[in-house]
Amino acid sequence: MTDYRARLIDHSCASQYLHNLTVGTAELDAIYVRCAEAYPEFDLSREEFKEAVIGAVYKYLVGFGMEGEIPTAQEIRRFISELQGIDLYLTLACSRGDEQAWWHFDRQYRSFIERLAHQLVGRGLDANEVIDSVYVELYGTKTVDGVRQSKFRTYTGRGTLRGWLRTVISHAAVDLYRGRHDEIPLEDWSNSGDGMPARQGWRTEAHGSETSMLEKVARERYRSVTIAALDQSLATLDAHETLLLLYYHVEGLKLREIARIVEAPSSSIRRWFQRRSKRQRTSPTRVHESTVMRWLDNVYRKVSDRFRSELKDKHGLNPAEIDICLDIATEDFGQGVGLNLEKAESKSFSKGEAGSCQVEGAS
Amino acid sequence: MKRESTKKEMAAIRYMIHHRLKTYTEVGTLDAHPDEDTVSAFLEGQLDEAGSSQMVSHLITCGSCRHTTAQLTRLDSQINTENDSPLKDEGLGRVRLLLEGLASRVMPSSVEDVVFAYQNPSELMTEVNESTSDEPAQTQSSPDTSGDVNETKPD
Repeated sequence: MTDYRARLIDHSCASQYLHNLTVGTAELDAIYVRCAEAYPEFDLSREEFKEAVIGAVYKYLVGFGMEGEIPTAQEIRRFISELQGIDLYLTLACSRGDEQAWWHFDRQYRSFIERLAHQLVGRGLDANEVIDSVYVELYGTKTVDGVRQSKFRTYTGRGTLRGWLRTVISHAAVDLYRGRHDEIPLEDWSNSGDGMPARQGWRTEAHGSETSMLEKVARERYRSVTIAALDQSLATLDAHETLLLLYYHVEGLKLREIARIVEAPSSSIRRWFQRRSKRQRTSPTRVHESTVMRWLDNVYRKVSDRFRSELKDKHGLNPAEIDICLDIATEDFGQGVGLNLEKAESKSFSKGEAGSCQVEGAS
Repeated sequence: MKRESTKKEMAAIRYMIHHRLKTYTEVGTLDAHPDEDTVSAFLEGQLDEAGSSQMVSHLITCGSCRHTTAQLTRLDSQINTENDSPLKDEGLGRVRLLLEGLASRVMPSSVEDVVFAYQNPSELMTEVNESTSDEPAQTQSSPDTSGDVNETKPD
Protein backbone atom coordinates (compact mmCIF):
# COMPACT_ATOMS: atom_id res chain seq x y z
CA MET A 1 0.00 0.00 0.00
CA THR A 2 1.35 3.36 -0.96
CA ASP A 3 2.24 5.50 1.98
CA TYR A 4 -0.08 8.39 1.42
CA ARG A 5 1.73 10.45 4.02
CA ALA A 6 4.81 10.60 1.90
CA ARG A 7 3.23 11.56 -1.35
CA LEU A 8 3.27 15.00 -2.83
CA ILE A 9 0.92 16.57 -5.24
CA ASP A 10 2.87 17.44 -8.30
CA HIS A 11 3.25 21.19 -8.34
CA SER A 12 1.97 21.47 -11.89
CA CYS A 13 -1.21 19.64 -10.90
CA ALA A 14 -1.77 21.63 -7.76
CA SER A 15 -3.66 24.46 -9.40
CA GLN A 16 -5.94 22.00 -11.22
CA TYR A 17 -6.56 20.17 -7.97
CA LEU A 18 -7.38 23.42 -6.23
CA HIS A 19 -9.81 24.36 -8.93
CA ASN A 20 -11.56 20.98 -8.77
CA LEU A 21 -11.63 21.17 -5.03
CA THR A 22 -13.21 24.60 -5.11
CA VAL A 23 -15.94 23.41 -7.45
CA GLY A 24 -16.32 20.12 -5.63
CA THR A 25 -16.64 21.60 -2.20
CA ALA A 26 -19.31 24.08 -3.24
CA GLU A 27 -22.04 21.88 -1.84
CA LEU A 28 -20.18 21.46 1.41
CA ASP A 29 -22.08 24.38 2.84
CA ALA A 30 -25.35 22.53 2.50
CA ILE A 31 -23.96 19.57 4.39
CA TYR A 32 -22.58 21.84 7.07
CA VAL A 33 -25.94 23.56 7.49
CA ARG A 34 -27.68 20.20 7.78
CA CYS A 35 -25.24 19.08 10.46
CA ALA A 36 -25.49 22.36 12.34
CA GLU A 37 -29.26 21.97 12.35
CA ALA A 38 -28.99 18.46 13.71
CA TYR A 39 -26.63 19.57 16.47
CA PRO A 40 -27.30 23.28 17.01
CA GLU A 41 -25.62 23.29 20.40
CA PHE A 42 -22.15 22.44 19.07
CA ASP A 43 -19.71 25.20 18.52
CA LEU A 44 -18.10 23.98 15.33
CA SER A 45 -17.20 26.47 12.65
CA ARG A 46 -17.79 25.94 8.97
CA GLU A 47 -14.07 26.38 8.40
CA GLU A 48 -13.22 23.61 10.79
CA PHE A 49 -15.70 21.27 9.15
CA LYS A 50 -14.44 22.17 5.72
CA GLU A 51 -10.86 21.58 6.74
CA ALA A 52 -11.74 18.08 7.91
CA VAL A 53 -13.60 17.30 4.68
CA ILE A 54 -10.72 18.56 2.57
CA GLY A 55 -8.42 16.39 4.65
CA ALA A 56 -10.62 13.39 3.82
CA VAL A 57 -10.60 14.26 0.12
CA TYR A 58 -6.84 14.52 0.22
CA LYS A 59 -6.41 11.25 2.03
CA TYR A 60 -8.70 9.13 -0.13
CA LEU A 61 -8.72 10.80 -3.53
CA VAL A 62 -5.20 12.16 -3.70
CA GLY A 63 -3.17 10.41 -1.04
CA PHE A 64 -3.68 6.87 -2.17
CA GLY A 65 -5.63 5.02 -4.70
CA MET A 66 -5.51 7.43 -7.59
CA GLU A 67 -1.91 6.74 -8.64
CA GLY A 68 -0.99 10.37 -9.04
CA GLU A 69 -4.17 11.37 -10.82
CA ILE A 70 -5.90 14.51 -9.76
CA PRO A 71 -9.53 13.87 -8.83
CA THR A 72 -12.09 15.64 -10.96
CA ALA A 73 -14.60 18.07 -9.50
CA GLN A 74 -17.27 15.45 -10.07
CA GLU A 75 -15.33 12.81 -8.18
CA ILE A 76 -14.75 15.21 -5.33
CA ARG A 77 -18.40 16.16 -5.24
CA ARG A 78 -19.48 12.53 -5.18
CA PHE A 79 -16.96 11.71 -2.51
CA ILE A 80 -18.21 14.55 -0.30
CA SER A 81 -21.83 13.59 -0.80
CA GLU A 82 -21.02 10.04 0.32
CA LEU A 83 -19.35 11.14 3.54
CA GLN A 84 -21.10 10.48 6.82
CA GLY A 85 -21.43 14.21 7.44
CA ILE A 86 -23.38 14.03 10.69
CA ASP A 87 -20.98 11.51 12.19
CA LEU A 88 -18.01 13.61 11.13
CA TYR A 89 -19.59 16.71 12.62
CA LEU A 90 -20.17 14.90 15.90
CA THR A 91 -16.63 13.57 16.13
CA LEU A 92 -15.08 16.91 15.29
CA ALA A 93 -17.01 18.51 18.12
CA CYS A 94 -16.01 15.65 20.43
CA SER A 95 -12.37 16.08 19.50
CA ARG A 96 -12.60 19.67 20.75
CA GLY A 97 -13.87 18.36 24.06
CA ASP A 98 -17.34 19.77 23.53
CA GLU A 99 -19.44 18.56 26.46
CA GLN A 100 -22.69 18.47 24.51
CA ALA A 101 -21.06 16.48 21.73
CA TRP A 102 -19.68 13.96 24.21
CA TRP A 103 -23.12 13.66 25.76
CA HIS A 104 -24.60 12.77 22.38
CA PHE A 105 -21.76 10.41 21.56
CA ASP A 106 -21.89 8.68 24.92
CA ARG A 107 -25.63 8.29 24.74
CA GLN A 108 -25.57 6.83 21.24
CA TYR A 109 -22.50 4.66 21.40
CA ARG A 110 -21.70 3.72 24.99
CA SER A 111 -23.88 0.64 24.86
CA PHE A 112 -22.20 -0.46 21.63
CA ILE A 113 -18.71 0.12 23.05
CA GLU A 114 -19.55 -1.84 26.18
CA ARG A 115 -21.02 -4.78 24.34
CA LEU A 116 -18.16 -4.96 21.90
CA ALA A 117 -15.60 -4.75 24.70
CA HIS A 118 -17.30 -7.61 26.53
CA GLN A 119 -17.31 -9.63 23.34
CA LEU A 120 -13.59 -9.08 22.80
CA VAL A 121 -12.24 -9.81 26.24
CA GLY A 122 -11.81 -13.17 27.81
CA ARG A 123 -8.10 -13.79 28.19
CA GLY A 124 -7.14 -12.04 31.36
CA LEU A 125 -8.55 -8.76 30.22
CA ASP A 126 -11.27 -6.84 31.92
CA ALA A 127 -13.91 -5.31 29.65
CA ASN A 128 -13.85 -2.16 31.77
CA GLU A 129 -10.16 -1.74 31.02
CA VAL A 130 -10.88 -1.91 27.31
CA ILE A 131 -13.72 0.59 27.65
CA ASP A 132 -11.54 2.93 29.68
CA SER A 133 -8.73 2.61 27.16
CA VAL A 134 -11.12 3.42 24.31
CA TYR A 135 -12.44 6.53 26.01
CA VAL A 136 -8.91 7.66 26.86
CA GLU A 137 -7.85 7.24 23.27
CA LEU A 138 -10.91 8.97 21.90
CA TYR A 139 -10.40 11.93 24.17
CA GLY A 140 -6.63 11.92 23.77
CA THR A 141 -4.49 12.21 26.83
CA LYS A 142 -1.28 12.82 24.92
CA THR A 143 -0.40 16.21 23.61
CA VAL A 144 1.94 17.27 20.86
CA ASP A 145 2.96 20.90 20.78
CA GLY A 146 0.20 21.62 23.22
CA VAL A 147 -2.42 19.98 21.02
CA ARG A 148 -4.39 17.13 22.52
CA GLN A 149 -4.26 14.08 20.23
CA SER A 150 -7.88 13.00 20.11
CA LYS A 151 -8.47 9.79 18.19
CA PHE A 152 -11.66 11.34 16.87
CA ARG A 153 -9.47 13.46 14.63
CA THR A 154 -8.53 10.42 12.57
CA TYR A 155 -12.14 9.73 11.62
CA THR A 156 -12.85 11.13 8.17
CA GLY A 157 -16.50 10.18 7.71
CA ARG A 158 -15.64 7.82 4.84
CA GLY A 159 -17.23 4.89 6.66
CA THR A 160 -19.78 4.89 9.43
CA LEU A 161 -18.82 6.02 12.91
CA ARG A 162 -19.97 2.66 14.23
CA GLY A 163 -17.67 0.77 11.88
CA TRP A 164 -14.76 3.02 12.74
CA LEU A 165 -15.44 2.59 16.46
CA ARG A 166 -15.50 -1.18 16.05
CA THR A 167 -11.98 -1.04 14.61
CA VAL A 168 -10.75 1.34 17.30
CA ILE A 169 -12.18 -0.85 20.07
CA SER A 170 -10.63 -3.97 18.57
CA HIS A 171 -7.24 -2.32 18.31
CA ALA A 172 -7.52 -1.11 21.89
CA ALA A 173 -8.22 -4.66 23.04
CA VAL A 174 -5.28 -6.00 21.02
CA ASP A 175 -2.95 -3.34 22.40
CA LEU A 176 -4.00 -4.09 25.95
CA TYR A 177 -3.56 -7.78 25.40
CA ARG A 178 -0.12 -7.28 23.90
CA GLY A 179 0.81 -5.07 26.82
CA ARG A 180 0.02 -7.94 29.15
CA HIS A 181 1.52 -10.70 27.04
CA ASP A 182 4.64 -9.18 25.62
CA GLU A 183 6.28 -12.46 24.83
CA ILE A 184 3.29 -14.37 23.60
CA PRO A 185 2.20 -13.72 20.05
CA LEU A 186 -1.36 -12.65 19.79
CA GLU A 187 -3.04 -15.22 17.68
CA ASP A 188 -6.65 -14.97 18.44
CA TRP A 189 -8.21 -12.37 20.62
CA SER A 190 -11.84 -13.16 20.27
CA ASN A 191 -12.73 -16.78 20.42
CA SER A 192 -12.79 -17.86 16.87
CA GLY A 193 -10.58 -18.04 13.82
CA ASP A 194 -7.48 -19.94 13.15
CA GLY A 195 -4.98 -17.28 13.95
CA MET A 196 -2.05 -16.44 11.76
CA PRO A 197 -1.10 -18.85 9.05
CA ALA A 198 1.12 -21.61 10.22
CA ARG A 199 4.62 -21.57 8.88
CA GLN A 200 5.10 -25.20 8.19
CA GLY A 201 6.80 -26.79 5.28
CA TRP A 202 5.47 -29.73 3.43
CA ARG A 203 6.16 -33.12 4.76
CA THR A 204 9.41 -34.31 3.33
CA GLU A 205 9.69 -37.91 4.40
CA ALA A 206 7.95 -40.64 2.52
CA HIS A 207 5.51 -42.66 4.54
CA GLY A 208 5.11 -46.37 4.78
CA SER A 209 8.24 -48.37 5.48
CA GLU A 210 7.20 -51.06 2.97
CA THR A 211 7.39 -48.63 0.09
CA SER A 212 10.11 -49.60 -2.29
CA MET A 213 12.95 -47.26 -3.13
CA LEU A 214 11.75 -46.90 -6.71
CA GLU A 215 8.28 -46.01 -5.61
CA LYS A 216 9.75 -43.51 -3.24
CA VAL A 217 11.73 -41.83 -5.98
CA ALA A 218 8.76 -41.69 -8.31
CA ARG A 219 6.55 -40.48 -5.58
CA GLU A 220 9.02 -37.75 -4.67
CA ARG A 221 9.18 -36.60 -8.24
CA TYR A 222 5.41 -36.40 -8.58
CA ARG A 223 5.17 -34.65 -5.27
CA SER A 224 7.67 -31.95 -6.14
CA VAL A 225 6.12 -31.17 -9.52
CA THR A 226 2.71 -31.07 -7.87
CA ILE A 227 3.92 -28.47 -5.41
CA ALA A 228 5.55 -26.43 -8.13
CA ALA A 229 2.48 -26.57 -10.35
CA LEU A 230 0.14 -25.68 -7.52
CA ASP A 231 2.28 -22.73 -6.44
CA GLN A 232 2.52 -21.53 -10.00
CA SER A 233 -1.25 -21.81 -10.41
CA LEU A 234 -1.90 -19.89 -7.22
CA ALA A 235 0.59 -17.24 -8.26
CA THR A 236 -1.33 -16.50 -11.43
CA LEU A 237 -4.50 -15.57 -9.56
CA ASP A 238 -5.59 -11.98 -9.30
CA ALA A 239 -5.14 -10.40 -5.86
CA HIS A 240 -8.92 -10.39 -5.30
CA GLU A 241 -9.09 -14.12 -5.91
CA THR A 242 -6.15 -14.80 -3.64
CA LEU A 243 -7.71 -12.75 -0.86
CA LEU A 244 -10.96 -14.67 -1.23
CA LEU A 245 -9.06 -17.93 -0.82
CA LEU A 246 -7.09 -16.61 2.14
CA TYR A 247 -10.21 -15.39 3.92
CA TYR A 248 -11.91 -18.72 3.42
CA HIS A 249 -9.08 -21.20 3.89
CA VAL A 250 -6.64 -19.43 6.19
CA GLU A 251 -8.78 -17.05 8.24
CA GLY A 252 -11.65 -19.51 8.33
CA LEU A 253 -14.32 -16.95 7.47
CA LYS A 254 -17.65 -18.49 6.65
CA LEU A 255 -19.32 -17.81 3.35
CA ARG A 256 -21.90 -15.55 4.97
CA GLU A 257 -19.12 -13.59 6.67
CA ILE A 258 -17.34 -13.07 3.37
CA ALA A 259 -20.68 -12.06 1.87
CA ARG A 260 -20.91 -9.43 4.58
CA ILE A 261 -17.63 -7.85 3.50
CA VAL A 262 -18.92 -7.45 -0.03
CA GLU A 263 -22.58 -6.75 0.71
CA ALA A 264 -22.39 -2.99 0.09
CA PRO A 265 -23.31 -2.33 -3.54
CA SER A 266 -20.40 0.11 -3.59
CA SER A 267 -17.94 -2.63 -2.63
CA SER A 268 -15.10 -2.68 -5.13
CA ILE A 269 -14.37 -6.35 -4.42
CA ARG A 270 -17.94 -7.23 -5.19
CA ARG A 271 -17.84 -5.25 -8.41
CA TRP A 272 -14.58 -6.93 -9.35
CA PHE A 273 -16.08 -10.41 -9.06
CA GLN A 274 -19.34 -9.39 -10.67
CA ARG A 275 -17.54 -8.04 -13.69
CA ARG A 276 -16.16 -11.53 -14.19
CA SER A 277 -19.40 -13.35 -13.73
CA LYS A 278 -22.21 -12.92 -16.26
CA ARG A 279 -24.63 -14.45 -13.85
CA GLN A 280 -24.08 -11.77 -11.22
CA ARG A 281 -24.99 -8.85 -13.39
CA THR A 282 -28.64 -9.68 -13.11
CA SER A 283 -28.68 -9.66 -9.31
CA PRO A 284 -27.22 -6.39 -8.11
CA THR A 285 -28.99 -6.26 -4.78
CA ARG A 286 -27.57 -8.82 -2.38
CA VAL A 287 -24.62 -11.11 -2.18
CA HIS A 288 -25.70 -14.45 -0.76
CA GLU A 289 -23.53 -17.25 0.54
CA SER A 290 -24.20 -19.15 -2.65
CA THR A 291 -22.80 -16.23 -4.64
CA VAL A 292 -19.55 -16.33 -2.70
CA MET A 293 -19.45 -20.10 -3.18
CA ARG A 294 -19.78 -19.57 -6.92
CA TRP A 295 -16.92 -17.10 -6.86
CA LEU A 296 -14.84 -19.64 -4.97
CA ASP A 297 -15.76 -22.38 -7.43
CA ASN A 298 -14.63 -20.19 -10.29
CA VAL A 299 -11.28 -19.68 -8.57
CA TYR A 300 -10.92 -23.42 -7.95
CA ARG A 301 -11.64 -24.09 -11.59
CA LYS A 302 -9.08 -21.53 -12.65
CA VAL A 303 -6.46 -23.09 -10.40
CA SER A 304 -7.40 -26.55 -11.61
CA ASP A 305 -7.06 -25.63 -15.28
CA ARG A 306 -3.78 -23.93 -14.69
CA PHE A 307 -2.55 -26.79 -12.53
CA ARG A 308 -3.26 -29.33 -15.24
CA SER A 309 -1.64 -27.28 -17.98
CA GLU A 310 1.42 -26.68 -15.83
CA LEU A 311 1.85 -30.39 -15.22
CA LYS A 312 1.22 -31.22 -18.85
CA ASP A 313 3.13 -28.47 -20.65
CA LYS A 314 5.89 -27.67 -18.26
CA HIS A 315 6.55 -31.03 -16.68
CA GLY A 316 5.43 -33.27 -19.55
CA LEU A 317 3.02 -35.38 -17.52
CA ASN A 318 0.21 -37.36 -19.14
CA PRO A 319 -3.36 -37.43 -17.74
CA ALA A 320 -2.75 -40.64 -15.80
CA GLU A 321 0.33 -39.16 -14.17
CA ILE A 322 -1.58 -35.99 -13.32
CA ASP A 323 -4.16 -38.12 -11.55
CA ILE A 324 -1.34 -39.75 -9.60
CA CYS A 325 -0.13 -36.30 -8.59
CA LEU A 326 -3.58 -35.40 -7.30
CA ASP A 327 -3.81 -38.63 -5.33
CA ILE A 328 -0.37 -38.25 -3.81
CA ALA A 329 -0.96 -34.63 -2.95
CA THR A 330 -4.14 -35.29 -1.03
CA GLU A 331 -2.46 -38.15 0.82
CA ASP A 332 0.59 -36.08 1.69
CA PHE A 333 -1.40 -33.12 2.81
CA GLY A 334 -3.68 -35.23 4.91
CA GLN A 335 -0.93 -37.04 6.73
CA GLY A 336 1.76 -34.43 6.69
CA VAL A 337 0.32 -31.79 8.90
CA GLY A 338 -1.74 -33.78 11.26
CA LEU A 339 -4.32 -32.78 13.77
CA ASN A 340 -3.99 -29.04 13.43
CA LEU A 341 -5.38 -29.18 10.00
CA GLU A 342 -8.17 -31.48 10.99
CA LYS A 343 -9.21 -28.87 13.50
CA ALA A 344 -8.93 -26.11 10.95
CA GLU A 345 -10.99 -28.10 8.55
CA SER A 346 -13.78 -28.72 10.98
CA LYS A 347 -13.89 -24.98 11.61
CA SER A 348 -13.82 -23.95 8.00
CA PHE A 349 -15.85 -26.58 6.32
CA SER A 350 -18.30 -28.26 8.56
CA LYS A 351 -20.56 -25.61 10.00
CA GLY A 352 -23.52 -25.79 7.72
CA GLU A 353 -21.90 -23.94 4.87
CA ALA A 354 -24.08 -23.55 1.83
CA GLY A 355 -22.52 -25.37 -1.06
CA SER A 356 -20.04 -26.74 1.42
CA CYS A 357 -16.44 -26.88 0.45
CA GLN A 358 -16.03 -30.23 2.16
CA VAL A 359 -13.01 -31.92 0.73
CA GLU A 360 -14.07 -35.27 -0.52
CA GLY A 361 -11.84 -38.22 -0.58
CA ALA A 362 -9.26 -36.60 1.63
CA SER A 363 -7.38 -39.09 3.64
CA MET B 1 -18.32 -40.97 -15.27
CA LYS B 2 -16.46 -37.89 -16.48
CA ARG B 3 -18.58 -35.69 -14.24
CA GLU B 4 -17.69 -37.87 -11.29
CA SER B 5 -14.00 -37.59 -12.02
CA THR B 6 -14.23 -33.80 -12.43
CA LYS B 7 -15.98 -33.60 -9.09
CA LYS B 8 -13.26 -35.68 -7.52
CA GLU B 9 -10.58 -33.56 -9.12
CA MET B 10 -12.14 -30.34 -7.90
CA ALA B 11 -12.34 -31.77 -4.41
CA ALA B 12 -8.65 -32.63 -4.61
CA ILE B 13 -7.82 -29.14 -5.84
CA ARG B 14 -9.79 -27.54 -2.99
CA TYR B 15 -8.06 -29.83 -0.57
CA MET B 16 -4.62 -28.97 -1.91
CA ILE B 17 -5.33 -25.24 -1.94
CA HIS B 18 -6.58 -25.39 1.62
CA HIS B 19 -3.49 -27.11 2.95
CA ARG B 20 -1.04 -25.25 0.76
CA LEU B 21 -2.37 -21.86 1.84
CA LYS B 22 -2.18 -22.98 5.44
CA THR B 23 1.53 -23.56 5.01
CA TYR B 24 1.96 -20.35 3.11
CA THR B 25 4.85 -18.32 4.43
CA GLU B 26 4.09 -14.64 4.56
CA VAL B 27 6.64 -12.58 2.71
CA GLY B 28 5.89 -9.62 4.94
CA THR B 29 5.27 -6.10 3.84
CA LEU B 30 7.17 -2.88 4.06
CA ASP B 31 4.07 -0.87 3.27
CA ALA B 32 2.42 1.24 5.91
CA HIS B 33 -0.48 -0.50 7.62
CA PRO B 34 -3.84 1.10 6.95
CA ASP B 35 -5.33 3.05 9.84
CA GLU B 36 -8.70 2.37 11.48
CA ASP B 37 -10.47 4.78 9.19
CA THR B 38 -9.23 3.00 6.08
CA VAL B 39 -9.88 -0.47 7.47
CA SER B 40 -13.47 0.35 8.37
CA ALA B 41 -14.03 2.11 5.04
CA PHE B 42 -12.74 -1.02 3.29
CA LEU B 43 -14.98 -3.34 5.29
CA GLU B 44 -17.97 -1.15 4.53
CA GLY B 45 -17.18 -1.15 0.82
CA GLN B 46 -16.47 2.56 0.78
CA LEU B 47 -13.05 2.55 -0.85
CA ASP B 48 -12.92 3.34 -4.51
CA GLU B 49 -11.57 0.90 -7.06
CA ALA B 50 -7.93 1.93 -6.82
CA GLY B 51 -7.93 2.30 -3.04
CA SER B 52 -9.63 -1.06 -2.62
CA SER B 53 -7.11 -2.74 -4.92
CA GLN B 54 -4.24 -1.40 -2.85
CA MET B 55 -5.92 -2.60 0.29
CA VAL B 56 -6.48 -6.06 -1.22
CA SER B 57 -2.82 -6.26 -2.23
CA HIS B 58 -1.80 -5.26 1.27
CA LEU B 59 -4.06 -7.87 2.86
CA ILE B 60 -2.48 -10.62 0.81
CA THR B 61 0.98 -9.84 2.09
CA CYS B 62 0.09 -8.68 5.59
CA GLY B 63 -1.34 -11.51 7.66
CA SER B 64 -1.81 -9.25 10.64
CA CYS B 65 -4.09 -6.80 8.85
CA ARG B 66 -5.91 -9.62 7.11
CA HIS B 67 -6.51 -11.31 10.41
CA THR B 68 -7.80 -8.06 11.87
CA THR B 69 -10.26 -7.56 9.03
CA ALA B 70 -11.42 -11.16 9.37
CA GLN B 71 -11.93 -10.78 13.11
CA LEU B 72 -13.83 -7.54 12.63
CA THR B 73 -16.10 -9.23 10.14
CA ARG B 74 -16.73 -12.02 12.62
CA LEU B 75 -17.44 -9.54 15.36
CA ASP B 76 -19.97 -7.89 13.16
CA SER B 77 -21.95 -11.06 12.88
CA GLN B 78 -21.64 -11.79 16.60
CA ILE B 79 -22.84 -8.41 17.77
CA ASN B 80 -26.51 -7.76 17.46
CA THR B 81 -26.70 -4.06 16.79
CA GLU B 82 -30.46 -3.98 16.98
CA ASN B 83 -30.21 -3.63 20.74
CA ASP B 84 -28.12 -0.50 20.42
CA SER B 85 -30.81 2.05 20.99
CA PRO B 86 -29.62 5.29 22.62
CA LEU B 87 -29.36 5.13 26.38
CA LYS B 88 -31.84 7.01 28.47
CA ASP B 89 -31.12 10.62 29.20
CA GLU B 90 -28.85 10.83 32.23
CA GLY B 91 -28.25 14.52 31.90
CA LEU B 92 -24.81 15.99 31.55
CA GLY B 93 -23.62 14.79 34.94
CA ARG B 94 -22.03 11.56 33.79
CA VAL B 95 -20.32 13.09 30.80
CA ARG B 96 -19.08 16.03 32.84
CA LEU B 97 -17.46 13.67 35.31
CA LEU B 98 -16.08 11.55 32.50
CA LEU B 99 -14.50 14.53 30.76
CA GLU B 100 -13.08 15.85 34.00
CA GLY B 101 -11.49 12.47 34.65
CA LEU B 102 -10.07 12.29 31.15
CA ALA B 103 -8.80 15.84 31.26
CA SER B 104 -6.96 15.11 34.47
CA ARG B 105 -5.05 12.35 32.69
CA VAL B 106 -3.79 14.52 29.85
CA MET B 107 -0.02 14.40 29.72
CA PRO B 108 2.07 17.37 28.70
CA SER B 109 3.98 17.32 25.43
CA SER B 110 7.38 15.79 25.37
CA VAL B 111 9.99 15.61 22.68
CA GLU B 112 9.46 11.88 22.28
CA ASP B 113 5.80 12.40 21.52
CA VAL B 114 6.45 14.43 18.44
CA VAL B 115 5.39 12.48 15.40
CA PHE B 116 5.71 13.97 11.99
CA ALA B 117 2.42 14.38 10.29
CA TYR B 118 1.93 13.11 6.77
CA GLN B 119 2.28 15.54 3.97
CA ASN B 120 -0.66 17.81 4.38
CA PRO B 121 0.14 20.86 2.40
CA SER B 122 -0.82 23.76 4.60
CA GLU B 123 -0.23 26.14 1.74
CA LEU B 124 -2.78 24.33 -0.35
CA MET B 125 -5.20 24.31 2.54
CA THR B 126 -4.81 28.03 2.98
CA GLU B 127 -5.32 28.62 -0.70
CA VAL B 128 -8.41 26.44 -0.68
CA ASN B 129 -9.75 28.29 2.30
CA GLU B 130 -9.28 31.52 0.47
CA SER B 131 -10.85 30.31 -2.70
CA THR B 132 -13.85 28.53 -1.20
CA SER B 133 -14.68 30.89 1.59
CA ASP B 134 -15.97 34.39 1.72
CA GLU B 135 -14.40 34.75 5.09
CA PRO B 136 -10.71 35.39 5.69
CA ALA B 137 -8.69 32.18 5.73
CA GLN B 138 -7.83 30.80 9.13
CA THR B 139 -4.52 29.13 9.48
CA GLN B 140 -5.47 27.60 12.80
CA SER B 141 -8.88 27.97 14.31
CA SER B 142 -8.08 26.62 17.74
CA PRO B 143 -5.36 24.66 19.48
CA ASP B 144 -7.39 21.48 19.10
CA THR B 145 -8.14 21.82 15.44
CA SER B 146 -4.81 21.86 13.72
CA GLY B 147 -5.07 20.16 10.37
CA ASP B 148 -2.04 18.03 11.18
CA VAL B 149 -3.54 16.40 14.19
CA ASN B 150 -5.73 13.91 12.44
CA GLU B 151 -3.07 12.12 10.51
CA THR B 152 -0.38 11.48 13.04
CA LYS B 153 0.42 7.83 13.30
CA PRO B 154 2.29 6.74 16.36
CA ASP B 155 3.73 3.65 14.81
